[in-house]
Amino acid sequence: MAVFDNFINMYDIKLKPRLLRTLIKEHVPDEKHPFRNPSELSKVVSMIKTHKLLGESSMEATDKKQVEIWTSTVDAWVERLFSLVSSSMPDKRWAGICLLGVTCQECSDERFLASYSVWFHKLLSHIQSPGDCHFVKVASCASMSDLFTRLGGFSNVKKEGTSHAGKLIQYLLQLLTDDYSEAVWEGAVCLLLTIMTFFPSSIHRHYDSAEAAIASKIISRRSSVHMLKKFSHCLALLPKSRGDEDSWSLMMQKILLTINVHLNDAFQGLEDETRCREAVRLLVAPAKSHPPPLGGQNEASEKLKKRSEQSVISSISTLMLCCSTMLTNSYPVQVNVPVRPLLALIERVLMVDGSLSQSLLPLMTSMQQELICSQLPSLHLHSLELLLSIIKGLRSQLLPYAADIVRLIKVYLKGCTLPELRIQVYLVIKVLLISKGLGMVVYFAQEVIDNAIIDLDSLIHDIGNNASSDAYRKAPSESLLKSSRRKRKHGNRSGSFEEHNDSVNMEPEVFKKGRTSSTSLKIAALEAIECLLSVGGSLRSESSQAGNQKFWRSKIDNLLMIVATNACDGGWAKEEKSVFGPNEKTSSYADLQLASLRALLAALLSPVVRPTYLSQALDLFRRGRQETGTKLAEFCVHALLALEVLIHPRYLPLVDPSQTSINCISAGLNFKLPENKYSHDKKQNPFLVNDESWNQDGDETDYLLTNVEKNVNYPENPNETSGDPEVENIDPTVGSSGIKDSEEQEQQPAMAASDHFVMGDNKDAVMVDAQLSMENSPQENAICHSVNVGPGRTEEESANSEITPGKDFRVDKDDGLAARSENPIIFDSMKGKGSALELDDEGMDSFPDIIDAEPDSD
Amino acid sequence: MGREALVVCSDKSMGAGITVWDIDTGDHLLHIPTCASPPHGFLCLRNQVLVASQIHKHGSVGGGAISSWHLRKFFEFQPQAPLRSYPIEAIGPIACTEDGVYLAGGAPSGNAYIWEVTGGRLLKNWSVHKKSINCMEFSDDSSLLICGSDDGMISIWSMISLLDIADFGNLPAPLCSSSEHSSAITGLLTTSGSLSSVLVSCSLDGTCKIWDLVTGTLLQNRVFPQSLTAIAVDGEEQLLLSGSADGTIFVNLLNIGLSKVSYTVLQDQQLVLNGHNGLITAMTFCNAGLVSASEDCSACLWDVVNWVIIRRFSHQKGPITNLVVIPQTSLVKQYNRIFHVSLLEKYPHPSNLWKEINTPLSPSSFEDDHVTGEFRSTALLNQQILDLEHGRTEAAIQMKLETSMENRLWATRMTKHVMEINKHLQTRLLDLMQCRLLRPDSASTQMSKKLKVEYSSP
Repeated sequence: MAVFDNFINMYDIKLKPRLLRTLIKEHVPDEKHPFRNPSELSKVVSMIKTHKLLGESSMEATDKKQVEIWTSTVDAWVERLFSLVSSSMPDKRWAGICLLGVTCQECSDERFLASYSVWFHKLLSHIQSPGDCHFVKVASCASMSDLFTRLGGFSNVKKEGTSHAGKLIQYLLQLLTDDYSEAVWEGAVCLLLTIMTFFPSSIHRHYDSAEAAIASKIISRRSSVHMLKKFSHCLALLPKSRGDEDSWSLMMQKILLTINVHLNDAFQGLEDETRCREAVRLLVAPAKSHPPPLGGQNEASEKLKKRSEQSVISSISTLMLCCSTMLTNSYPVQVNVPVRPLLALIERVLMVDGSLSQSLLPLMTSMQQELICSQLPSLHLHSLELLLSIIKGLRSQLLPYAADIVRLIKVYLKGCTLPELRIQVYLVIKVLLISKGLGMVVYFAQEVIDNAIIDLDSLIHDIGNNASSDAYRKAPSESLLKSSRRKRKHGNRSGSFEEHNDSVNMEPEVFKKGRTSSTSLKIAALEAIECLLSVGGSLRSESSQAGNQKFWRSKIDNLLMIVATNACDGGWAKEEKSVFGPNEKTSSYADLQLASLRALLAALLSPVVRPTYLSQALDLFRRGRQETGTKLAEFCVHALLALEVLIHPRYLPLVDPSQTSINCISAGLNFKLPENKYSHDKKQNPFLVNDESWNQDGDETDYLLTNVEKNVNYPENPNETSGDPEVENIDPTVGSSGIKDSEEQEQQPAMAASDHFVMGDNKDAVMVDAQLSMENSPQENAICHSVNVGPGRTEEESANSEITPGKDFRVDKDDGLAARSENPIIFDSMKGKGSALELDDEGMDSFPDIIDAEPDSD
Repeated sequence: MGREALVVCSDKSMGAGITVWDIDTGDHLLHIPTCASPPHGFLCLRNQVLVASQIHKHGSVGGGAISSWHLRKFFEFQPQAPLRSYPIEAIGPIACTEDGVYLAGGAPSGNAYIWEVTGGRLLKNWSVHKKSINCMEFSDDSSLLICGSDDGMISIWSMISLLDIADFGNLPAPLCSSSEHSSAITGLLTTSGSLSSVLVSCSLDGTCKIWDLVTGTLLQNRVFPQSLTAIAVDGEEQLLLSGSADGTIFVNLLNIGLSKVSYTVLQDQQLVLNGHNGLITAMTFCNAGLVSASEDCSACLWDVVNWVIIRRFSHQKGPITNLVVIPQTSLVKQYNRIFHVSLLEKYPHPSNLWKEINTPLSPSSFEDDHVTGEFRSTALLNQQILDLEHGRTEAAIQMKLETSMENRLWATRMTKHVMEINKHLQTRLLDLMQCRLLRPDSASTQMSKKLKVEYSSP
């Protein structure tokens, strides 16, 4: 190769074979030289993956010669790998096998399909030969797994794949039963899982022995937790290889029986005998015989006797995990899920809290009790996970059992104090609420709120009794401010916020630990509330049957505002990037702030009344937006966007003039009615009077206005505006309308008594236009953006008016619009959207325009 | 948007059957014989199975029946007898949950029944009203069941407590009930969304009432000049359409305020559609517009922009009582899992309630087609390199050991080999020397050569 045969750039196709050749020459070990530095391999692999050196084709591969060169280089690469794989030195064999696995992933489709069979046999020889060292075996399993994963992607070689996999299974099971190290088992199980996923039918013939091998691994005590998880997953997928209803049910039954048998041992003296008999009775129908034990051997239970409690519990947990996996993984046919035994099992576990049962004399030494109590939380956690899987797996079909589950959770929550368990319970609650909807909220709201308040206690704690609704309902903003001020002081004192943490904190270790656990619990509680609000925010305060439930909504709103204020009070926490290792799942304070803001947004978006603390919340979101590059800022932007509708209810132009030709329903519904239709209607409808619409409109805004005023205690004195001379002008126009007398009379006093605000964000110009067009051709006026103006009334006055005695407000009488303006529908639909309006001064300015319009439109 | 089909049926006689039209072209697609359903007694489960309650007119024996047809099967292998279940009494209105798992039916006696469709189990039967149940409806999230009766009663039930197996035998209590309507309820519908879950009801008393779904509070009351017989809401939930007894349809805005609003009587409408000569029996929105059906033996497709009739489907076999719009793919599409419908049980079997639940697990079609596996060898390679470098695991040490043993073996072999060569050379040398000693008289040239060899060989 010429020295100056340069490349165009790093994407040049010529580069690839050259690079690969260099790798083969310099970095891949060969037969002759000793292999000193294994980390070279990792460089080789990353090079291959980055530059796609084994791809053999490329987008711009027009140059045939280059492709040929590339192909021959890859040939050389494979040649080298073969020589390595059959090397006598274990480390070179290992390197060869690993690189072969990478080749399986990276090589071109054609090459793979042409040579996978050869590669398979190369790898197989290492898996089946007993002499190879474990390291090599593990690597061969992984490479083989990659081979099958790749093969699984081709739908045309399913048959060949299955037959190849079939050859492999027995050796794999041999690996599992033989006394190898855990790493080998892991490799074998992973390979088995891959095969189960892609070529399930290949296991068919070895079904029983596979079950036996895996079950014995789970029941024997010699595996780590990590391995047990893999085994359980494998066992759960096993029925898929048969793919029929019975295999699944039988497997489930066997597992449940085994769990219950183990529980009988573990819980001896902790629960009533009746319960364990009941559990088994549910599983095995009286007429039927017991199924063969899991794994087929009876020795399993023999072994069990000798084993310590700890390993019993870990097998139970593993088997529960297995049930969860079975429930949540897909299965080719419908199956019969034994819900009742499953729920009974969960209840059985959750009801054991380590206290000795009363009826039995202590059969248990304190030592035993200590042991079991140490293990119980993990058992509870696993049964809650199982519960979650049941809910996920059965979806709405679980409905007949939903009430049972709720009862169980209610009882369990009362006693449960460990944060980890409570987090899991919240998770269950969340899933229940989302999946079962409003009906579940009715059932659950009180429980969730009570518990969440307990868990969020430290965040609201400073507010103390003030937090209870009344003080807040009257002057929410003030007390909120107070609370935050107070909180700030408190924060300084205890040094509980990030800012002060490093400098002030005296016992960082202890403090941090406590904080971390409770932080994630608080987050879980906040998420549960968020969920409750999203699903059932519409449950109005007055809805409750019981008195104590009465104000849960306002209570929660206040609570959330306080929590968010307090959480975010000390500044924004940094999003900690896993300093303590990636596996440790810790929730940082930043997560808590995020969760509190999320819950707050949910509360704001599902209002019962116009949120009283909107401005504080907005302030929080705006401040949060400043935190560039954090998730929190991202969320705050989203929150502000979502809230915009609430802050400034807008009348969006419903017609996009550039796209008037759209012919879809949504467009049609929102667009104004066509003119011919309008005139047609006009003839038909006897109630076509222009003023009518203003009246109606007035009522609408009127209602909204009073509502707004009521809620925010709008400071402006209504009398100021009621004296407005322009107001009086309206009355005659009302009188001149052609509505039925009754209607008119109903309207008039209200109009007279009312004081008038003009609302809407429309530009004056638009309004003038509208008026003009009405003047010119009342029949054809095309007010697209209807003007939303009208007289308003204060609450007191509306109460005084005789129209609707005993009722606070009048309904918006949309129908009354008739077809006076061309687009009555649009007119009101917009109002419907803008449910809570803000008064704005601009609108007031535009008022005279309307007055002018009134006589004209007659 | 896919093409849709309009499915209608009548209650005139069993001979009327079910008719399916292409909604866009008006073509007749399919006719399913023998079906006569009362109003609200016809629906399509998951777009796959048509379910219809059958009234047996006088003269027939026993109660009614509930029939179900698998649409695709019927379309491809027709004719095919429906799956007919026979409940204790004739069922009038039926309703199903969004996912098609539960089917509720109401009887003229005021009793209601809830079945689980896949297993056919009768999960609950109880007395809802004193008078005949006219319509039933599930809330948007399928957690509430609403029943309307002939005497104007509306009751709302929580599905969770209805189906609670722990109190199977007990008489359930409704979440709330109301008797504001003075005449028979003819239509119920709920809006979606958790924030404004409202129930809209219409009645022969000429009013349309809007309720808070959970509390049962009356939010609005609208009075119409006619008896109302059907209601519908468009997809955006902006428009409320009310069909009346004389065939007119009123178009109103569905304005649901956030707060509770006291009611006002309304007397006029915004838009009146005149297209039918007989009582409006059913209305629904579809992609193409609004479809209305009437007792005048026709169904109309309305343009929702101009509010004019685009197409009129005339049903010669009798007045239309029910209509459903389904995607046309329902007729032909191969579903990954066929939605299974069992024979509905006649009597409740408490023991059956405890039976296993037959269910498809994770029935998402996506997962079946796309099994994704991850490649493992790269990660393992890096892991193993670390292991090797630090000698952390047994296996790594084992391999190192084996490698060094292998190396030693090799070294030994090499040494042996070298020694052998050496030995060989030595013998050769000795041989040479012997030769020379024995034959000292050999040529000097030869000698010099051998000397050279001698030098180089040690």
